[in-house]
Amino acid sequence: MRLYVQRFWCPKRGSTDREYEDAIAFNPGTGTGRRLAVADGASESSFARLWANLLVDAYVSGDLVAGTLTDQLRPLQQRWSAEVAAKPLPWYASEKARTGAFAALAGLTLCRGGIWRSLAAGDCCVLHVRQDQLLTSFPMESTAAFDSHPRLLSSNPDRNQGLDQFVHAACGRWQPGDSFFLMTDALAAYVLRRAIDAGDSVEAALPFRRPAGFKRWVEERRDERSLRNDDISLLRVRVI
Amino acid sequence: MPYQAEISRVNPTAFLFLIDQSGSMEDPWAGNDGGQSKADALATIINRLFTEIVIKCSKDEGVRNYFEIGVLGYGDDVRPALGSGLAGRLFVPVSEIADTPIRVEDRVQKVSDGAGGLVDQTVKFPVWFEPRAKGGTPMTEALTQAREALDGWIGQHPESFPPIVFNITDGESTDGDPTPAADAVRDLATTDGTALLFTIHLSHHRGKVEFPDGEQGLADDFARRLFRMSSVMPPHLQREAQAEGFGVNDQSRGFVFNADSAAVIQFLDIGTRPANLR
Repeated sequence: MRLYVQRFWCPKRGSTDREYEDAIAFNPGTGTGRRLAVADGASESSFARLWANLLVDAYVSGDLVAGTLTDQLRPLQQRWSAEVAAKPLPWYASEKARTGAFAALAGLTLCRGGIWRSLAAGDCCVLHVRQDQLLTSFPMESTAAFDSHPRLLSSNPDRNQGLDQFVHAACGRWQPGDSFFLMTDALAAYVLRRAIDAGDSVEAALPFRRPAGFKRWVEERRDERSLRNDDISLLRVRVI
Repeated sequence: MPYQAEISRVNPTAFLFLIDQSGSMEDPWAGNDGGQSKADALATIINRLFTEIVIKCSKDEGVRNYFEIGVLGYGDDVRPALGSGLAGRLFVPVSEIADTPIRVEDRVQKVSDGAGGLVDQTVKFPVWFEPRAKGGTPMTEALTQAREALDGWIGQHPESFPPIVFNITDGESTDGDPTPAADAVRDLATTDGTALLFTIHLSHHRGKVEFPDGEQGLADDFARRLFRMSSVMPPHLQREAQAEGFGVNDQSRGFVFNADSAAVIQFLDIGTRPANLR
């Protein structure tokens, strides 16, 4: 199995690159499969970028599996707390950090033998496309789903009550030539509107090939208000 | 569609609190823990609200200036009411609010012990606004000064989410009918919509009315006047109030009559929730 992977990202308009709070990771490794992940750190929380990065790195290392997630999150939560505690913080930042950081996560594992598995919490999305047909949109299956406020993974264990209810898993079969798209919520809402509501192909909805073209395209969509002003992250994966 | 503007550091919005500081605010606010006066209890509520707003705007690198906040007190005179390093200033960016309290007190609050009980915990309590209760209720002058200040603010932020004014009072205006001055505040506008004027009437009397959609059910001319002075809630605040269990509709106004302290806290919490923070 060989993968062609492209990675695109940009912060919300009005924010700097340093303020981008999503995270993207993929492992180039061999082993039993290839893993890719995107996470969306919640702007309402602080140190969300750190939490999003811990989540995607753990996923692509094979350390996060649905069903045992509560235990697997514990070392990440401890690391987040230790890194934040090491910073000298004013009173308001300490108060905010006590609440914890929050992030949505979508991970994809492409296994040898043609099986794929996905794990998701929140509104990051995995799309599976074959010959221009959208086979799967997981976990958000429609544009209406983005109107709700899904639960997110927290760096604060007390805020992850009922974790099994809001972490979702899916699996399917891949073939050479298939494409997968992992993306954060604003882009996913745009793509599903084009693909499901308007009947366009996912490739046609994302007509850029290079980072410069991507950033131009994002600005144009924001200008026409068809793309919500949010951090944008995309992994475009083609199985060769 | 009005009230859609993103609230960002480039386009912040403003909250202006008009606080009644008349002599009657020294009276106890019945039903309130410890029999505190209305002025003392309201100061605690405002300071706690400021703490919440500062924490909401706090990010890894510091406090983001999504909001500019002002307090205008009205009693024996009408003046900006933030203290110490912010004295005399009206609209203050939230990052400056964060770094310039008058003092930080240690206060004890009850928190869960994780086993179904409560334990005392000492928390930091920053104070920006001190209680005061003296003189009459010059609400008309307060609204007139608010309009002038907001006109200047809007001139500097013409495309921002419109400012929200919270007029908090326990009694009738003593300097004439404030209705025209209130109308003038609500006539101010950014490109995103007209300024919002919400009214909180403090009382220990029975008959609390929250977010009414008409004058029926309001006890007297005083209540009806405050209702007419108050803005219809924009859609995002209707949704927030509905989520809290209030039966509001598209005619409901940002108005609470005969509010106890719990109602004031809830009203301010709902009213200061941003629609579209970026």
